[in-house]
Amino acid sequence: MSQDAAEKVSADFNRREFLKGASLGSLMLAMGGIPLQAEDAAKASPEQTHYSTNSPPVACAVIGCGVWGREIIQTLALLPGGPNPDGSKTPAPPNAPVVAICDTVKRAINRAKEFAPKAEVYDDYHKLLEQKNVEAVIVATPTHLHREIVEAALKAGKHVYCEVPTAHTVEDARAIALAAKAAVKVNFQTGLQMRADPTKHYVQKFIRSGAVGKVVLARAQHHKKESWRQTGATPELDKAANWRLDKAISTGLVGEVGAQQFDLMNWFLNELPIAATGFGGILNWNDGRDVADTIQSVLQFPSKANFVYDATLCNSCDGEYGMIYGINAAILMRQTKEGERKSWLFQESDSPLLGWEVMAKKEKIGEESGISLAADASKSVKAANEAPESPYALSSLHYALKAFIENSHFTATKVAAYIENFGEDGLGENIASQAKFRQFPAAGYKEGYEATVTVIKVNEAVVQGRKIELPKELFEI
Amino acid sequence: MKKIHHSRNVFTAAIAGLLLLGTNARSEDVVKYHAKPVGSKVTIDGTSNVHDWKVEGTLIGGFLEVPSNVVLDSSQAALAGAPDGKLKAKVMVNISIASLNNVHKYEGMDNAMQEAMHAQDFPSIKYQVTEMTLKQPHAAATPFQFDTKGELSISGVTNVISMPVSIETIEKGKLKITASGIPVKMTDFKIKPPVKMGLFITDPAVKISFEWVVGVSAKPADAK
Repeated sequence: MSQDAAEKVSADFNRREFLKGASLGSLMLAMGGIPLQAEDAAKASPEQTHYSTNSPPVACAVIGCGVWGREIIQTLALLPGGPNPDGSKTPAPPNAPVVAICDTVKRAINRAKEFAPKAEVYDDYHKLLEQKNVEAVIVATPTHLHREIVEAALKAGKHVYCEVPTAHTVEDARAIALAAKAAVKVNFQTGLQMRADPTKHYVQKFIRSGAVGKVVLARAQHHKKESWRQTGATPELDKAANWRLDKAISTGLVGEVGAQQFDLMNWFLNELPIAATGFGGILNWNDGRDVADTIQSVLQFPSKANFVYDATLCNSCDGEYGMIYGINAAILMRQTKEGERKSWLFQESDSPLLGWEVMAKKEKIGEESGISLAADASKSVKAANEAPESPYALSSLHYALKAFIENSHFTATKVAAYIENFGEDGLGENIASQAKFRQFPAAGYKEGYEATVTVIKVNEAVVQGRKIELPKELFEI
Repeated sequence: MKKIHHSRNVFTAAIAGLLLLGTNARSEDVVKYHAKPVGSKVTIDGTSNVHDWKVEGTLIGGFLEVPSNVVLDSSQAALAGAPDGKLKAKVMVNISIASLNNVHKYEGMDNAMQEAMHAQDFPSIKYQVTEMTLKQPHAAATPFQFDTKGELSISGVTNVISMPVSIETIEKGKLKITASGIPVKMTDFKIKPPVKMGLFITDPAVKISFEWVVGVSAKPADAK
């Protein structure tokens, strides 16, 4: 990255900080020699306005109230409604009210109701989809149940957020993608959270700008000692609850925990893989499951940079992280124990100096000194902020759901405006042409399909213990 | 009493019939160019004490209606059917506020703009032409230049403004109507320009520009 480009990136972020209402100290720093102007403006400033920068509320329903569904419900409740238009300190109501929840398991519904006490309760998603007050649906059921629900929700005219992997077979994944593509009047988003996460967008800039040089290797892991085994009140409920342990319907560790990492690599490398090799086995949890509790995989890309992924339910050491290795530098991405997502750049001793490193904050990671890749990481901004709050304390899920709500409102208003003036002819093309104006990046049906097909095939390789070729046609919708 | 009632009914029916005839005759005397969904563009350029901003949209609804003896063909030197340059046109321009996008993607600006303009109650910017005069002379194969006067309605407030426009024939039956840098002040329409923390102050003065594609359709679309 050239010094000009790096300064622009830094300037863009400083400007954004300012628009979000950063401290006066950082504002003055960002504006350079304008502090006097700022004071003059304040003396003559007109009346403060209280316009909300958030969209009006989009009423949501969550189908699938297991552990992750409940996490989604809680996160939706955190999405801000913005400042109250009356200027009072009372915040406006959240702009993602959960008006309905659905699950076939009573225990799951009862737990979910604690986080969405005003939601109507359903055990049949068909009835939920009939409700006119439901504008958007988040599908968080077991993977093999996604297709039927997503197709029905799109047909019912609801905006849809579908968790990943979107399906457990290529056929189902393609059907979901085709249905989403055809549903031009609504917003469709997949649960590839990193695509909405500003920390990952920031890292992507460094990779795409060439700061790390040619990428030669990527690696990620998920190590967490846990069983995944659930208990159901009846043999039937027990079988349903343990769908992840059933080879016939589960995409295993690769799909159920690795999908985000595999998508990240597709995105960062800006390529689709050409082959997958895998190995796996049940090394500890011998409880009748037929899904591996430990796996290793290699994903090959056309540029010859391979992505190596391993995951285990048998050991927690070193947790979860991702690495990108380039000729000039490597990037480490991990989440701290406090839940903060951080990234660091480690430059090779012979890499060209980019200039901005002098101002960057450095941290010791093991024996290495890494440059912190965060928007407020420059020493001068840190000095200006009295109590710097990490801009990335919010979870990836938070950013993904916020993007879903905002983009759903965006789509709905554009569709209504077009139909009012021109009817439905040409609607699809017009809506597609406006996608570039979306303020909130997120994974659509194409990214969801590509990531899902990737993990389905990697899992196949793991199950069969061999290399599988991935022809280009496989990724065509 | 009955006789008077019967006569009134006949009289009313006769008037209705005449009006109907009149209506049919009027629709044959006009040519209506309907807004096309593709090819149009509207931009609003503004500034603040921190940075410039711009919003852009591609949806401009409405229509242009002219007497059928008027031939809007800019390849010709004269405007046939309007020898004195005064065009008896009916023009309605309709720009949906929800269709406008902020080009720089400043977070939340679209939502704030819609709220500032009371888009929920007044979803469109509307311009209705009351006068349209051709600027002379007009050279063949150049766009017609018109001075227009009309009522601009934003956020429930209507003001009379002047707006020079050009009309160019793109192809037979299709026109491109262009206006550039039309000055508008938000406060004239009772819109409070956004102010944040007393430091970020939006300038109330903006400039509206548009390129509007209209055409004669076999089946006119419903214009609202």
